Amino acid sequence: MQIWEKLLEKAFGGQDVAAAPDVKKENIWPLAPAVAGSTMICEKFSEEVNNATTSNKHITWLFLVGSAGNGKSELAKLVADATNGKLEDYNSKYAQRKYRYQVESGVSLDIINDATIPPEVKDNNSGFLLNDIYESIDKKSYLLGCINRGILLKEKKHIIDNLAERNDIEDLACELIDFLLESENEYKAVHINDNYHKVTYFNNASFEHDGFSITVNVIYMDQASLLEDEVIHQFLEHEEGHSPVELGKYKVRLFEKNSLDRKQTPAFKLATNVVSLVDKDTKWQDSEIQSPLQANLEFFREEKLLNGWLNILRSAEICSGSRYTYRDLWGILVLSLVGTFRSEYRKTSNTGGYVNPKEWVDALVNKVEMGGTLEDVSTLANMRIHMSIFGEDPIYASTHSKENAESGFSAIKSLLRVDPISDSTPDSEVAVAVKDAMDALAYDDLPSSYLFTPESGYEKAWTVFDSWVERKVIDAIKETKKDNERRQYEAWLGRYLYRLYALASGHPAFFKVVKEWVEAWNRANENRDLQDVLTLGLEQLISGSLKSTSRDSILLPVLSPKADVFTDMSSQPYLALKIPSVFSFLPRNQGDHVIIAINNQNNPVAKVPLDFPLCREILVNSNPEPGFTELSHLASPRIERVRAAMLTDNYVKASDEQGMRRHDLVVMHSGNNPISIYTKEG
Amino acid sequence: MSRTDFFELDRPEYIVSPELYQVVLAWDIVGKKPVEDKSIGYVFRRDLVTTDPKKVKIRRMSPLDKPYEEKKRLYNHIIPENSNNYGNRQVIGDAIFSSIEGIKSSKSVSQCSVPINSYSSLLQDIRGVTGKDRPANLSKIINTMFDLGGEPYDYTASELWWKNITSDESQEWLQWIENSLSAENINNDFSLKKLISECDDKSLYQNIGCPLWMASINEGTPFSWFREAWTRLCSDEWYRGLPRRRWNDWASCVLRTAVGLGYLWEMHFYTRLVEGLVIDGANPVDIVRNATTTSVGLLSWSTESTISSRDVSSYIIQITNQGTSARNMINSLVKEDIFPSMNEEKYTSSDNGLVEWVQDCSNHISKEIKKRLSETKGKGKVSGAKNTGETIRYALLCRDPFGINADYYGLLNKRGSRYTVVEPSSEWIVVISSLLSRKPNETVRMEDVVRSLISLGLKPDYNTLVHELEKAGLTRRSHDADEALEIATGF
Repeated sequence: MQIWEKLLEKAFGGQDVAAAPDVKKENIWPLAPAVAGSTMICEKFSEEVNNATTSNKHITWLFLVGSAGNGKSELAKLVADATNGKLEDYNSKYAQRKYRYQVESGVSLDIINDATIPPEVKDNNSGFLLNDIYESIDKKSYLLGCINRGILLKEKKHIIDNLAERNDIEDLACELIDFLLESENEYKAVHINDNYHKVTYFNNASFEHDGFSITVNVIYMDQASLLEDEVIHQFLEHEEGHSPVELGKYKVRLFEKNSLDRKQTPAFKLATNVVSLVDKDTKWQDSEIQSPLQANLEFFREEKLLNGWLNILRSAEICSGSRYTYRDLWGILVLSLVGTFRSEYRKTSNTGGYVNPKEWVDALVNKVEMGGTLEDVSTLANMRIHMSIFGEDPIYASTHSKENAESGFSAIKSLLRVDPISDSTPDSEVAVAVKDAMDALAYDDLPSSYLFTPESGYEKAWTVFDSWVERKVIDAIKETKKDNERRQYEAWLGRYLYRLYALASGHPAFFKVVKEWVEAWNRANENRDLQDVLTLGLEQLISGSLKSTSRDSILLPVLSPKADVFTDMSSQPYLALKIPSVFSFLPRNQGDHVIIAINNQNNPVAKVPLDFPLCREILVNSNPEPGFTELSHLASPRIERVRAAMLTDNYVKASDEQGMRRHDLVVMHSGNNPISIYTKEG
Repeated sequence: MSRTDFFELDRPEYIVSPELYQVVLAWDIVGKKPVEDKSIGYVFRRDLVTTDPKKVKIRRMSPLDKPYEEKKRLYNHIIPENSNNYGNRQVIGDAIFSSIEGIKSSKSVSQCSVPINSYSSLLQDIRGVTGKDRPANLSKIINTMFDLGGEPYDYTASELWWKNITSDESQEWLQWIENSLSAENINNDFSLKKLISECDDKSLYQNIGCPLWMASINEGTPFSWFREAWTRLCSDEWYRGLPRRRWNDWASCVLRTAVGLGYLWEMHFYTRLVEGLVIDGANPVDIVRNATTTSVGLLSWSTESTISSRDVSSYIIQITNQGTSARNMINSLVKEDIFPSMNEEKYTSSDNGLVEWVQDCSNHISKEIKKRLSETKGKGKVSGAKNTGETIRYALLCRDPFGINADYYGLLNKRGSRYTVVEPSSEWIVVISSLLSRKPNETVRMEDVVRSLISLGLKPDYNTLVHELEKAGLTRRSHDADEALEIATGF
């Protein structure tokens, strides 16, 4: 099968299936390291299994927890392949829930490959994972478990509903489920290793059973990004067959202009390996017009441009608050190389499969060479990387629309959010550069010649194909007699240039918001305070309109439905509590997330996740002239609840106990000075 | 247990003010008001231009509506300290009473005070607020619904609520307000202080229990949801973890949601039960499943279809007509001894009791009975159904989306003059999802929210639900989470 057809299998909604330990499917694609250094840990695990002896009283278990497409099954296959063992009782051609290997050394290894598949023999509808755990405990097997979080929740529910009375082994298994869910329980049988409690992608515990000691490692594969540097672990000397691990640190790279370097990331490795494979396998036809697919491949050959692409992907992760799985990355890579998946790529015959997209595009190129319309130019242009990943933008659409995007996939939706077009404010250097370049049209000059210059460093992003598109559109601009058409073509060309320039330079929409978020993550990682700009904005958001005249306290309406000041409320007097306000904001990491702990006079008020809507809202409020954004409605309920939290009995009691505050009940009335009803000295 | 129908739920009447749901609980504890003239009704505020109802003598309790001299006397009495001139006292007094004003819909003439403590709860009663001399017994309805939520419980819904609002550990400023409201001359007819201090903190309501088959419905019911949410809300953790007014607003929200969706469930139950009984050879297990299931979604909730297809007002009218008619028919057949009484212990004390009852009824369905049962469908307007329909509608409807007394806790919203759609006000989903947690500052999971909505008879599509939760600032969409998506509690 041609490589381009194979690529389509990896597209969003493609027919590629997950790996399984036993499936000897031909895999032509290179593999890249799994998230959070889990590949290393799995390799070490296989080594331990192979070196184990039946006299060992120590067994290791490893759980990989995360969502579908994270590469768990690939890791399970890796472990199965690396283990010198024989598969027991195997008679299915389909991927199974669980496999048992008899290792040469005499020990056994259980692999739960896909906990979402129910077992072939079942008495119940749930509790399967518990059964697997009982069995591995009972048989004293090594265990590798690939588990989705949803499954853990189901098991937990099964425990609550059906296992009120439990025997010892059930108790143990239930505690293990709690441990995997990171529940803050009192553990009796399972001993949790505190050394790892700061590492959110890893956990370690141990328990004893029947003279055996079992160490349980768990990697949370959804807590780290594939677009950040690979985590490298160190393994210490073997201790009776198992190797304690010194975990590598997960870091989020600072987001600075001109310092893009994502070479050490798993995503970089995947993209470069895939592209070199496609490159090797592809011959391009000689034609006047370059194929947009060829232009896309050229983009990936340049390390600098590839870093820009990865930067955009990472900012999309940050703005959407989620992390791409390998399945997502593959989908985006195919989208970037081939363009939006077209219905024409699907074979109509019963056998299914895909036509070769490169040949399909080549045919279209040939047709256009014979004399194509501007619409054909637009169709080809929309196959370019910078047009497909941010949503197609046909030149004849009445307005700039993203309806053509395959918006059913949330990974694509997240990319639309960072479309550079949606943030072309005058303070964006990229926007200014493109706007200036577009002035060239007035002098009969090419805008691209001002943007993609050796000085800018992005000349390689501009291909023969792009020059052809630019020429065709400028011809259309010159030819048209209609002002509105001219404006439409000019605007489209501006967007085409803007998206490519921003992608090449790794400059997403809301660059500043992403930059500050990353800064906050790093400060949290180093136990430092929140940066000034966010501190200022957050304080302004919480207390801005409620500041008392003395500025050192806020006035919270105590009995209104919301802890806000309503404009029409000022017409009648109302009761308010005057609360001294000395806020401090401490950022904390939770995997790839940032949580801000808000304290007032050192008394905890609330914890709020710093996500994109809130970060953006804070930034627009860090200026002397506060503003609002289209996402204010998502951030303001949380801010209101932060204020309201200062009115709860729990908060007042805690601050009273600390003797730190003084709160007065006052009456607010028509803009006059508040009337104090009583003063409570702390 | 003495039942004349399955649930012993009185027929309800439209409830004018969300706070009234709590007010009736307070009266359920303190008992009848100690006045001889039973036609007196108390109301916190009522439009001054509105004429009083014929059979109720209205007493307006808020000083804001009293003549200057009377108000002055009152304020001088209740605000003895801190200010020398009456000007300040008037501002302070007005601030207290305007701060405790509850929600008022634009068409309503009455307004309750927010029941932040026992005194402010008793500044009105149901007769005064509704203007009816014989209003439906709302506290009995609420307590019955609480009973129907599961196994026997040590407290009634009223008692759980009362325990909190009379707890004396509240913040000092709340005690200051309580002291002000406890002044003798706020109510000249009788002493609120005496009434409160002499009550035994016990409900007037007598428990009737819950049939075992009902407590065993897997998906849950609006009643089981109510039991759980109310018990949590009335726990010390949540009472201390919410601002006082917010706790009261959440309490009204839970009560309105339970009453509105509880009656909807009841109407759905009777409708589907009768529909099943008239099908020849229908399996009783299937009949029962159809009658009790909520997983189909009792109200349509999606943002992805047109407004007209999302309209629920005509459905509420239709189901209450058919449900009331079906209920009447079942009850008369029981009274006529054609159907066995659902009250018999063999039915009420078995998980399978309803299936057995249906099985036993099926043996008595002659052609004539079948005809009578069939005629309950398509009967058009049925007496009493309108009240039930209005109760459901107005319990759930957002009373006023804007302004100082805005309602943030409705489930339904009006779209133009014709349509009413499921479109929760901003805080509704906050209450529903937060009360899945035993205490504040925790997280719950998407799966729990979905399950609890199903027990209420609501089945929004995934995107709609995530959108609601995002709007409330409780979660962020994450494509890698699905059912494990974490939802923060509101506080």
